[in-house]
Amino acid sequence: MRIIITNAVDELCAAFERQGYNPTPIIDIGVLIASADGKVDEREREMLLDVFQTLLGTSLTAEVVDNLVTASLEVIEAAGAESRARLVGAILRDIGAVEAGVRVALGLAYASHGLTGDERAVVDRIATAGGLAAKRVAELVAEVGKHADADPVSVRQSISPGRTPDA
Amino acid sequence: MAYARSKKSYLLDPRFQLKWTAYLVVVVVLVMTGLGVVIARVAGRTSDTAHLAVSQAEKAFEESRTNSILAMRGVQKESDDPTLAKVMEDSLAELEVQSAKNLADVRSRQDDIARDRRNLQLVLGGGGAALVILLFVMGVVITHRIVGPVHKMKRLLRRVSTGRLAIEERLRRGDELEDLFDTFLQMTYSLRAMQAARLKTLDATLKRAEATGAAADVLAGMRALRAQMVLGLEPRRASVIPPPMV
Repeated sequence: MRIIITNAVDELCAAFERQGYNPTPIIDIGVLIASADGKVDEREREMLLDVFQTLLGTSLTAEVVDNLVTASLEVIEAAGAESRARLVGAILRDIGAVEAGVRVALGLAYASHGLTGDERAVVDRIATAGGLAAKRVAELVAEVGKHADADPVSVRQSISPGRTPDA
Repeated sequence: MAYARSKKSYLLDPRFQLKWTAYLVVVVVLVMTGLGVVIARVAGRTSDTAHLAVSQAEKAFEESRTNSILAMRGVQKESDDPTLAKVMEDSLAELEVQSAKNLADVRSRQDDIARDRRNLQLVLGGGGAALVILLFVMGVVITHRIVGPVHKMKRLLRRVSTGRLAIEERLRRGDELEDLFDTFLQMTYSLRAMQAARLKTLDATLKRAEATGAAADVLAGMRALRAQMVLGLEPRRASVIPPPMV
């Protein structure tokens, strides 16, 4: 799982950089997945902390993460989760990294409580907006799910390089 | 990012472009159909008139022949003069030849009219089809002049929505909506200037805070803020896969 997530995050960031975009949609992907069931719990908040730290390349306090999550949630609330997911999908299509984005989304979904129906719906929305075929999404779900079941290393460790196992 | 103009790139927004092109084509087809009906009616009447003229000419020819035969029989009955009969016969034969020639002329004119009618239908049909194709192509090209900039703007707006404000792309020559694009560029310049000024202020404050030994959590907060502000302006280091756990 860690290889999938780390590679996908790097692939995404490289694609964003190559196409002249900021990688901030990764924050939206994380918050969209974490808030799919209507709330962001403590475990999801910790997962988002790792994503943001990886993305920004610096240590962040819980307060900063809260601010980022709150800001993103406000945007999602104002724009609508579906609309925001469509925008994220369109941006992923712009940079030609829809599969990497879906992999990150699936990895984050599996990292909390497994892939729930709400999270799958968000993934599907992003994939559809990105022009990814439903068949390919199902393949990615199976691929990421297989690693999630087989690899005991947590996604938190995988997306936060250098993190100690008991952190 | 400049993109090459290919056949595919002419249909950037098929739904929008084909809808307006279809409107244009439908309007022209309706006008052409109306005109075509009028022209077809006029041509039909001309053809009917020619047909009637031929019928009348045939009837006149038949009557003329009948009259000639009756006149010939009358002359033969009234007079035994073979010379008179011969003159009469020649005269009637000449009249019949002339009548047949006139009938052939009328029929030839009818054929001409029928041929002209067919040619007119072909020209109208072919010209109409060519005009529809030309209009379709023109519709796609004209709408492309509008959709192209909109397509590019949508893409750039999505980029700006990620916080990236450096826009190097420009519209192609001949594209519409130049004013809108220019306004968009001016907006990104203003936002970039504000972002740069804020970053400079933050950097200076951070430097002073470090120099004066500010509290660690204050410095961490400022660095986190700087990391958010500078996101995308500096190259990101690739993630390092942690060593496998023992």
